[in-house]
Amino acid sequence: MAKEGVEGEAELAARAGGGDSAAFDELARRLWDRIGRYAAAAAAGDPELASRIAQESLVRLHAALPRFRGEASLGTFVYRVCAIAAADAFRRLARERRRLGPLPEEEELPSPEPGPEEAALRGEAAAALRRALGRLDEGERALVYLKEAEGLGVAELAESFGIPEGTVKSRLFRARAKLKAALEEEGYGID
Amino acid sequence: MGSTEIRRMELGRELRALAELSAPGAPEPRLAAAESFRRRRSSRFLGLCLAAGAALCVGIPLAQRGLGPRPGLERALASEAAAEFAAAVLGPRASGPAGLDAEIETYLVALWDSD
Repeated sequence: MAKEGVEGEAELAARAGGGDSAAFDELARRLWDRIGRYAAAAAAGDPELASRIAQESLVRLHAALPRFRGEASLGTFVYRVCAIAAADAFRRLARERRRLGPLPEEEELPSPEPGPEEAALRGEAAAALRRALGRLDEGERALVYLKEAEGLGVAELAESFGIPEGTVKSRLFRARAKLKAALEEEGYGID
Repeated sequence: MGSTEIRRMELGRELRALAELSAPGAPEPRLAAAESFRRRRSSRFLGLCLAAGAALCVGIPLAQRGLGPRPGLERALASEAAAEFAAAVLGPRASGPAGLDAEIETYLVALWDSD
């Protein structure tokens, strides 16, 4: 079942790369959840930045699809595009901040819908995780996210980020250690 | 307070939940496609301008030699050598009286004037 979906996406990608705009629309709809989650993770939960990264990823995907030959999986190809879009968004953000001067303390992002107790506890954990993620750079966040939440292996991560597997391993190790330390300060241990 | 109790967090699940929570709304593929086309057109156009600029670099010294000590864009544009070079580099975009596509010429004139 899942395989059928994947084949459908590769076929859509080929048609979209050939200039079929309806195929691109459909492909964008199918990939959007993955792109959106990646963007949100890279943006450390900042919805506005996540939205910019996701839309930029779509623009770059449209431009890159004619070059998609199916040698890599479409999934890693898409994450590679997202990684470039995210890096670009952060470079722009840094330029904007340099131009505008230092910003006041980062505003705390709103916690997710605080409902009754369980929601409050989950909200607390999410806020702690968001703060801890903020201590990582965008590339580290994306790496940890794809490994831990999307279950990508080292080889797929290497392909997605265009770096050797050894580098993936060492960056992952460092990023996870940073995140662990930051979460411990917040009173959380990770499984 | 003062408790140092460590709560456990299942990292993968929490990361995914956080990403889902702050993921953007619906995609805008039409806008993305339009922006992608715009960038492609604009980078092709800039590439052509670069080629036209190169043509002018060839043309300016020749224009200088033939037309006296004060080289200017118009003279360079009017230079036959520049026009020939532009035609060789730009192909069908090399047209018009100066040998350059009017759009490119306008862009180069604006660049020249802004200096």
